[in-house]
Amino acid sequence: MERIFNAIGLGLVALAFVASLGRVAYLNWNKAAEESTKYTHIRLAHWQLERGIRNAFDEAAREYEKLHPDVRISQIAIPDRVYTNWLTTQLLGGTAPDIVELGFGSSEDRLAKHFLSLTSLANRPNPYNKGTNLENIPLQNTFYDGMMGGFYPGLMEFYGITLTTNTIRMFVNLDLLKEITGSDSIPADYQELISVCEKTRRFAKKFSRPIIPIASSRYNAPYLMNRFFSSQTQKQTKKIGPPGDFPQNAARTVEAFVDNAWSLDSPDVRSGLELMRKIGREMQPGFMQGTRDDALFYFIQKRALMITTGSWDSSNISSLANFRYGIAPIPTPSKNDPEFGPYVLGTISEAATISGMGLGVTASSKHPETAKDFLLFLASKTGDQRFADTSKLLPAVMDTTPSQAAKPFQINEEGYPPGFNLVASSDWADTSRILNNSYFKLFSHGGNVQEFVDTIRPDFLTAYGTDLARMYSARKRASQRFDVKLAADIQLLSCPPPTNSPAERETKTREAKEKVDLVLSSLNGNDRSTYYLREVGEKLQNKLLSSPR
Amino acid sequence: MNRTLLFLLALAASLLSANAQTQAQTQAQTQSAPPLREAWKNASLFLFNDAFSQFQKEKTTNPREASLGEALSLLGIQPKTQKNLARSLSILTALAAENPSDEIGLAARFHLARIDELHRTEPNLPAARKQYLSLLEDAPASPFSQIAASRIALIDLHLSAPDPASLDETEARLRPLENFLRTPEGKREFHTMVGLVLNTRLGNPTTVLRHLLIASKESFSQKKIESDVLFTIAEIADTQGDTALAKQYYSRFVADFPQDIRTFLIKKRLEDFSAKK
Repeated sequence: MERIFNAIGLGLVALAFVASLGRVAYLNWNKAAEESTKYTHIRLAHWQLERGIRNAFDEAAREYEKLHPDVRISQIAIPDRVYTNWLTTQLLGGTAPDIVELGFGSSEDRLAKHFLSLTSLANRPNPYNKGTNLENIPLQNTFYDGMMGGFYPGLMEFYGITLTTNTIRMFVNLDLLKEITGSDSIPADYQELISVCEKTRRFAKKFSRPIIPIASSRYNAPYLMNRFFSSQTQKQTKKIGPPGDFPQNAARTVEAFVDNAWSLDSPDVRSGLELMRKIGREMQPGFMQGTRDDALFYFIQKRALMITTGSWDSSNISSLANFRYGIAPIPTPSKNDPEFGPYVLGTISEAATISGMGLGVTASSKHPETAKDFLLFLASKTGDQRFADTSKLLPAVMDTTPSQAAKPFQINEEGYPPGFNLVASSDWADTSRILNNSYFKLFSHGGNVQEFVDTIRPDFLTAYGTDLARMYSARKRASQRFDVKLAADIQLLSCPPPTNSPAERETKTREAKEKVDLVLSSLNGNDRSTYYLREVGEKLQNKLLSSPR
Repeated sequence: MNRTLLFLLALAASLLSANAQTQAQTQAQTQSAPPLREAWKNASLFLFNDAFSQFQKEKTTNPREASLGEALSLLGIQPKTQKNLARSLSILTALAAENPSDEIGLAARFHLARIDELHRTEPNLPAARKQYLSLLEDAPASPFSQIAASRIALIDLHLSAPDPASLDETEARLRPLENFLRTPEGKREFHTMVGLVLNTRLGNPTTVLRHLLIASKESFSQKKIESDVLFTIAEIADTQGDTALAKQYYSRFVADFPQDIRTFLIKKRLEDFSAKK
């Protein structure tokens, strides 16, 4: 009997021991693996394959490691073509790096679920700005654009901390320019641009060389075309609508069209289309079918004198071009231009440029506080300056100085808002489709403005109607979501997170109050525009019903 | 025998107890926040499905708050269905009937109005307005009532005929609501709403100016809206020939929004004023 009891007892001990061992081993397995090294590892993923940018990240990492010897930072550069799929897999698998560049594959739903909100960081001064003139300024206000590149209006939260600013510029092959014109001075205004284009065509014909004035594609062309067209509607835009309504929104543009304040026959619209045709005729035939790479190859292979693209392509061009090149602003017509000046208010301002290369912290990060701290280090005045100096990109933080290479991309704030474009908002798919399907009538050899307008006219108002309706639905959905967020934030305000520090409690309560106020204000602002979209939509439908097709 | 057995049993129990403690500590580390707070956090981040499950689980501990969360999450869950809307409506109606004046009851009443205004396929704006007004009259100090005032303004101005006389009449009808505005946020939202909507609908500029000037005295959480308010005041004043007021607000705009796309235009206008002196 005694043996049986002992056996039972021993068995229980053994069972308990094995169960405990297994359980403890299971709980600590990940922790042990993590602690097997003495360093805190932070991984940063992005799609910037350019050497300068990778060097800039490396340099920042090494500097940070000097300040924090227990931290090691590594970067993973993933090509942009596979970035979305790669990130999706990593996020769903819970294996995403601590820090991830936002853009490809980071929809708002994904951000909410798989990333940490950085709003609290955005509202507090950056500790790495201590000793500088930005010391006591909330992080978001230390950026030229208020860090709006990291703000997601649909979520009402900051999810990214941005590092750079991008602008659109004209790149000119100086060797070719000198060969063609005898000078390497870049066209400074529209008339000079057209003159150089004409000389290029004559030169190509005379020497039987396959050179076109401007390399373009369906990716590059809109940057140029929108800029030129909107220079012609600047004055009109200022006149449409009541005082204060400038630059106008998409709904106001459509309402003005419905009210006949402007039409496809308005002189300024015709002038804008004529300008587009003139520029389009300087590009390679069929450019609207070409890709971004096609355009870049034309320029790199010296088959085009110029290309218009963003500062993000600068390092590509710099590493691939075996010729001298210059960079200049897009020479839209000035108000003194004899042909296109009458409708121009002035140079188009770039003040609304939004910062880019936003980095977010993933919710699965094992060291979120270190990851956030590294982002603050990167986004400090000295951090962003160092990053800009090495990457040769424009910095995003105030009071920093662009490197010599980035100077041509500096934002030009001295200018006026652009006028409206025919595609009233950049995401208006139906209006874009109608225009894209008919551009050949505008840009082809035998085409002209009248033929283009005649082709788009029958479906133009209908396209505005569907795009406006889509915008209305999106705004309505946003308000419906904000409703729930508002109630949730009010509840969260009434039960602040537990903390023993009174100062921390005060900060959290203040932040919670600001959050409620921001949502409330956004909800009302969004609803104002939703109601207005509905009113314009009803007006447009009435016009459609009363106009014979 | 008994001593050996007792020792072994005690050893087994202590091992199991230590293991249980380790497990409890691990759980405490990962789930330290109160469950309803986590659910509201998810709702705030638009993770409505997660929030909904959490609210449902917590209905026994705090039934009214959890029911409010459940009803609101149902409004956010995609795809939107009539079934979810009806269920949400039923929960909110019950919460409002049970106690219409506690925080949960006031929130329920506000969202019943929001359903009529925004969530139904066909909105019922008069019904929404009636509920907002009743909320405002019953509990003006509630944050929901302060929002309700601006909602009434939006609905009334939207339903008004677009001619200037009708818009003036509507605006006059809205003025008594100003007596209910208790918080700076409530004042700012109401006057911004009336001013900007009237301006969009081409209402009387003097009336627009009155509302926006009151709004401009408060602090704004949305910089974009603040910049629009300042710019509109300055432009209306400029159009009406009130140079002093125009200059004051143009200057405030330039100082507060040096990076705005309108700043250069405004600087030029200020230079014109100086040149005319």
